[in-house]
Amino acid sequence: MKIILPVAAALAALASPAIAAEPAPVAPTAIAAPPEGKGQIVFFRRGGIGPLISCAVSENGARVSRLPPGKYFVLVTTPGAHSYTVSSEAKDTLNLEVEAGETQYAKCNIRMGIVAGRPNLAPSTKEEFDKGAGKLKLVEPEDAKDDDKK
Amino acid sequence: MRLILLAVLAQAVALPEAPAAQPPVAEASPAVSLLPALTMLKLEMVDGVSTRTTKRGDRFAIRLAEAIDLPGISLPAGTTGHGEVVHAQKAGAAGRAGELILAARCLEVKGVCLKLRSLKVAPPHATERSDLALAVGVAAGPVGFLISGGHRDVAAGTALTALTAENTPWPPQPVAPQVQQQEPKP
Repeated sequence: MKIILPVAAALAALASPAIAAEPAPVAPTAIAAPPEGKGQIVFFRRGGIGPLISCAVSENGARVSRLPPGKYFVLVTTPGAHSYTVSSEAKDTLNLEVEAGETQYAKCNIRMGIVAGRPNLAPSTKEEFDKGAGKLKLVEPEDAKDDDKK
Repeated sequence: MRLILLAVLAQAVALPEAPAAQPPVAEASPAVSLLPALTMLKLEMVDGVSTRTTKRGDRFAIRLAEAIDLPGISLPAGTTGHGEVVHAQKAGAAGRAGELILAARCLEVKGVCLKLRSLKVAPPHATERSDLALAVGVAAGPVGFLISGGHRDVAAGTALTALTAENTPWPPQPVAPQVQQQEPKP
């Protein structure tokens, strides 16, 4: 017993710096509730693969915003069915049903393509969005501009 | 004789008037129960849905997993209804995962649709392997296309939750069909 206690104390001393060195959890990005009678969609894109590939989100052919890597934007819209697309050498569509007072999540990622990477728009969750807490930044107005002619 | 007749007439005039018709007393209407909007319902899938086979617009059967017992409102477990596939995309090449979005539409209560919204499905998302496919593609060219993403399946019996979409008088009443009045032609 006399031997076990010092060993345990030594192990605890070794373990404690490791515990102290763990990064403090980053608070999730707070998304405000949508206005009365509206719903909203948070579009986000993590950094990493395909930083030069555009992920521009459109609805009915009209540009909503671009999503550079590591960014997100919040689209407030009317309840009901909506269809969003991203396109490069191939088009990808995400159909959503927006409900009043609710926030939905959609992510853009880049898949392998023949000539270039293909953006893919997929349903997501708050939990998945929160995993990037502290890393995702809101799309700046200049990011959202229609600067590519795809 | 005349006197008698006059006396009878005078009596007739003197008769008290019949009590005036009283305004009808409104019958006490039974208290109407109301199932409030945004009441949470615990449901379960009756049909399984998979991105292998399903497509947008398909319906699937659901049922109430836990009975609702509120004052004046009783909705038994097992009440059936349906939902609809809002978005479905098969898993594909280059690590693309299957995508599936479901919506709850109705529970059938005495032939009337109890409208639902805000369906939540528990199971995890399908496995996405697009990063792996891209990495393999960089290393080994088109081989990366052969890596397929996982399908998204929601099995029969999967637990769901949904909310009632609107305040509903109980029992729900069928909505009368709206008749459009045609304007007379000149």
